[in-house]
Amino acid sequence: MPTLQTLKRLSAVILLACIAQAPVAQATMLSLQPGETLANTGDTVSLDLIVSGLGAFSPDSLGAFDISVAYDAAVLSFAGYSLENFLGNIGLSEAIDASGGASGGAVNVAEVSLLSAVGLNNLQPGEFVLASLSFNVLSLGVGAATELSIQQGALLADAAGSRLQFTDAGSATIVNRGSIPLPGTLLLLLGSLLSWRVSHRLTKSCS
Amino acid sequence: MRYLSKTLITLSLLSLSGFSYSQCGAPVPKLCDADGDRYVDSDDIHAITLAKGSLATGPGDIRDIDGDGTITLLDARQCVAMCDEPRCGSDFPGYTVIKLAAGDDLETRTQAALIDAQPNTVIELPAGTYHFKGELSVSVDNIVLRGQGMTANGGTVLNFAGQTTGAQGIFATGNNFVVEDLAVEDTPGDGIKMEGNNGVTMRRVRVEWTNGPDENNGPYGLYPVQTRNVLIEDSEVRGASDAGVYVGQSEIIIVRRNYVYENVAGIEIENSKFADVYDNYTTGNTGGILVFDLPGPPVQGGEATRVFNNRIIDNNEPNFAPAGNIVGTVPSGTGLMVMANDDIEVFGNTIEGNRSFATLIVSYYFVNLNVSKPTYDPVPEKIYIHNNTMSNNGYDADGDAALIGLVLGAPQANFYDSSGVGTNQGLLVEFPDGLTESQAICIVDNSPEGSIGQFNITSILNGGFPGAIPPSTDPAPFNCSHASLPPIVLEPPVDPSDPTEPNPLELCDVAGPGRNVDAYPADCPNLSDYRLFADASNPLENANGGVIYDLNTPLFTDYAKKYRFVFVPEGAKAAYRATEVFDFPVGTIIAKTFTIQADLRFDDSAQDIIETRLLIRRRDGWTALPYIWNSDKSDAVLTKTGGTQAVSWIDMDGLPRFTDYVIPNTNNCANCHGEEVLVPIGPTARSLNKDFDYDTGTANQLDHWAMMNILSGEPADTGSIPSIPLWGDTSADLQDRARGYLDVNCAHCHSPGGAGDTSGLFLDYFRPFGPTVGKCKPPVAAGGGAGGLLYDIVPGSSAESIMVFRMDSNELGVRMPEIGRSIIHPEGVQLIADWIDAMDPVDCDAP
Repeated sequence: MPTLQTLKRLSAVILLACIAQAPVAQATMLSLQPGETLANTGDTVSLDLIVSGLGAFSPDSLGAFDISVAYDAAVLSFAGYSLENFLGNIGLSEAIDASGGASGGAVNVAEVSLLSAVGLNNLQPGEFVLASLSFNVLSLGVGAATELSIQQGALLADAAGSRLQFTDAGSATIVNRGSIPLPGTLLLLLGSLLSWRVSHRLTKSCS
Repeated sequence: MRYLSKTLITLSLLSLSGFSYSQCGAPVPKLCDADGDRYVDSDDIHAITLAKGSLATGPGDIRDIDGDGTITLLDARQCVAMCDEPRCGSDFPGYTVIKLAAGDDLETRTQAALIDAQPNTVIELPAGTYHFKGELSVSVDNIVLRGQGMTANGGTVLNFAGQTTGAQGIFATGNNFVVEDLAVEDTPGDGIKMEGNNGVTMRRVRVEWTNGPDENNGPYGLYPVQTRNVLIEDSEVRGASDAGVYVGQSEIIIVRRNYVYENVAGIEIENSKFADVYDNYTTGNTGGILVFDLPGPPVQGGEATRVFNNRIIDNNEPNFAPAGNIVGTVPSGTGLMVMANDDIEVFGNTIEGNRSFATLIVSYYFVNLNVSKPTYDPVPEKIYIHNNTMSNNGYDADGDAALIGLVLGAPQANFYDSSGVGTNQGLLVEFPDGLTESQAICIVDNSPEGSIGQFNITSILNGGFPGAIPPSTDPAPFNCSHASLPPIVLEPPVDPSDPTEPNPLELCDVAGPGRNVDAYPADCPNLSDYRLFADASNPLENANGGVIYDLNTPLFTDYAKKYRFVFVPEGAKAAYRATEVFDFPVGTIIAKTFTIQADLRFDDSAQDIIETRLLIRRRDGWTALPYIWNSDKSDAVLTKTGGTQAVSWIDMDGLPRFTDYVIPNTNNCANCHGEEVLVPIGPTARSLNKDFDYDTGTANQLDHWAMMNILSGEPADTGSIPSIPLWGDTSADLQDRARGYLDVNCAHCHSPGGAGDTSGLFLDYFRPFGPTVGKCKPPVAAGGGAGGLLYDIVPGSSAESIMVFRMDSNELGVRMPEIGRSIIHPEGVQLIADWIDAMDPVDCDAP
């Protein structure tokens, strides 16, 4: 028969094990996705600004954000942005677009929700897209890359308007890995190789 | 300058909420009120966002609410919480806002505001719990009815537990109607009903029967019917004895982010097209989400509904629907049920813990083999259920649903009833060769893949049909796909109808002899302003240029006696119509005065004059105005909100009777006289075609109208015109008397275009007797009103007929007619019962 003390020790071990296994509150994080995008000069690329680690239909929800993304203006030009509806539908006057636009190698996107805290809780999953950003690739040589990053001073507010601390997942990269042959080109190349080989064999056999 | 150019009318005590006052009396600017207009609204939030990043002007900068010296979006968001109106007043630009103060008479003031409102008005109710006795009704376009929240604490709660008039809590027929941020509790009938609107929004509202599941609760919580562009979001419903959220016979629908629990059906999309149902949480209901198409309602062809990203969990409440209701067939523990609907896509849902089925797809034959409507499609087609998370469903099927498991050897999480497919028996000939690829039922890519069973229920129950699909648990036939349906996008709001014409009250004062013929465009404050009668205090005789008339069989209104006069402008005539109401010229006034006779046994006993209702034909149509007689009976006063008056009399048996006589409000008038276009009811050829004792002698009324030059186009021989017999004239044919009684008492709603046409029950006099007149017709949305009975009329058995049951009840939510009487008319009930009992018996259950 186990003694009471043994049971207590066992309970303590189980408790500690449970605590060790308990899910830790997920930290709020901002990220630019995809982390790496392949592109050539002249392409248009799109990146999503994503928040994660929120309450998923419960507090914390996001009541406002004000974020600037830095980029190399010699390589990229800002082409446009769109805001998602997770802070409310701007067209229905549920939120205000407070974005500042692009200047000096940075683009600012910002939004304030006019919905109540309950409304935001009902609306927001734990992770969602805040905004999609589009850039034109002005000049990116083969093998070259350019980075985009969230500037310091970015602001996230919870439903009550208090600052939400977050971690930055790091920069996103646009890379030119060189042109990939188009299928038609590839076929021509293969055809050329094949005809060369056939002709080479014929030549050999005739010689 | 406010961003919204709205007028704020504060009916409460004047509250200068935009300012506080310093000790010396100078106003102190309000925090966040960036534009200094006394209100914090979206203008101010816009202003603060435009200033983001700039330094505050000092410690007193009202934009820097967190006091950190910089204007940021933290300030903007904190100011949102300080807005004076929900959503910072941004959602209805240009609307007039009428704020109502708390008080015992809030019901009357609210109804008055709803009647008097012009289009583009927000009517805002105060916080608190209020006990309402009558239905709130609104017919004006572009009205917002708003409270202070749907919670019991701090919100606006309208409790209808003591309701005595009206069939539901809130009833709206105007386009672009919005109800938000309030709660409706314990209605005897439906919670919030919308009918015929283009543009319906129900947002952050709670409808609850606080006693929890009970078959005596009202049928529907949120109930738009025959509507278009419907948005129901962020709301809660509990305790409905039919469906928490019910969208019927409607098009272009979004139902999202609602919490529906402890109802029979959580959400039901019925006989509707183009619906998105998503992000809802349905739990503790008998069935989570239903998508049905039924043969009874006048609008059919339900299709194109997406059900996605919902949580459909533990819907295991025992079915508490009153017997006879279609939702009474839903097995307890059903996650999603599709009946006879086409083109349904179900994906991304979490469906778990539903004891009978995760999904149940059935034909209408599942509940009734007796489908004889050629335009109705009872078989579900093109159902695509994919990529849902399903777990722990179908573990303990409820009641008859357990038979499915017995037939298939084991309970099934998903079941498909193939009745009507692959068989050539009797009615079931729609798809003798089976569904085509484009019509297929696809249940695929769910995680985990739950068990799938199928068979032809009607074949099994009827001993087997040749060609019927045999019982099977093979999932292979369901391994298919369809193209995804497109998202639903609501259409832009339609323009409101023209505002009501100005009310030229000066016309009420036009002096002169005889009738004031100039006053018809005005809603005059007193009946005497129209000078309709030689003696203003006696509306029973001596009309100034009016013609008295009577109807062959009258509407029952608590034994009130009625005196009717028609005043047609001099030189003009009404145009005869063979079956419809006569077409009266502009300027016509129809006056109907109601009196309570002290002793019904004696025609000459004293009469108490209660009310006079006017129907006035204006350039833009008919207007209804109720006038209530004052205490000294010298005049009647316009009272658009109606009222009640205690009355008493001695009945035909010499017994004392009493009741609270109900005088309808102007919106109630539309319930009987037409939801969309107001028209008179009584002046039809069939109701007027009889002799009347005029001062000048006895004459046929139609002949008399012609002789008085107020009617044109009538047949020379009135004998050729049908005539409704007096309901109590036992020398007349029983069927004619009964149909006449129904025509006068019921058909103003139960006819195409009437308020009751959503039921598919039509009781106009000339309609041949059949299912649309109630013969073996199941109810559509009767709820507890069915009394556990299955058909409106069971020939040969009045005791089994819902029609008699409802006429013989005085309980709100059951009684018919819904308004116009406060007591039962036993003689009328007996007439209809006699008529039904005299019919040749029919077995309504026979296929």
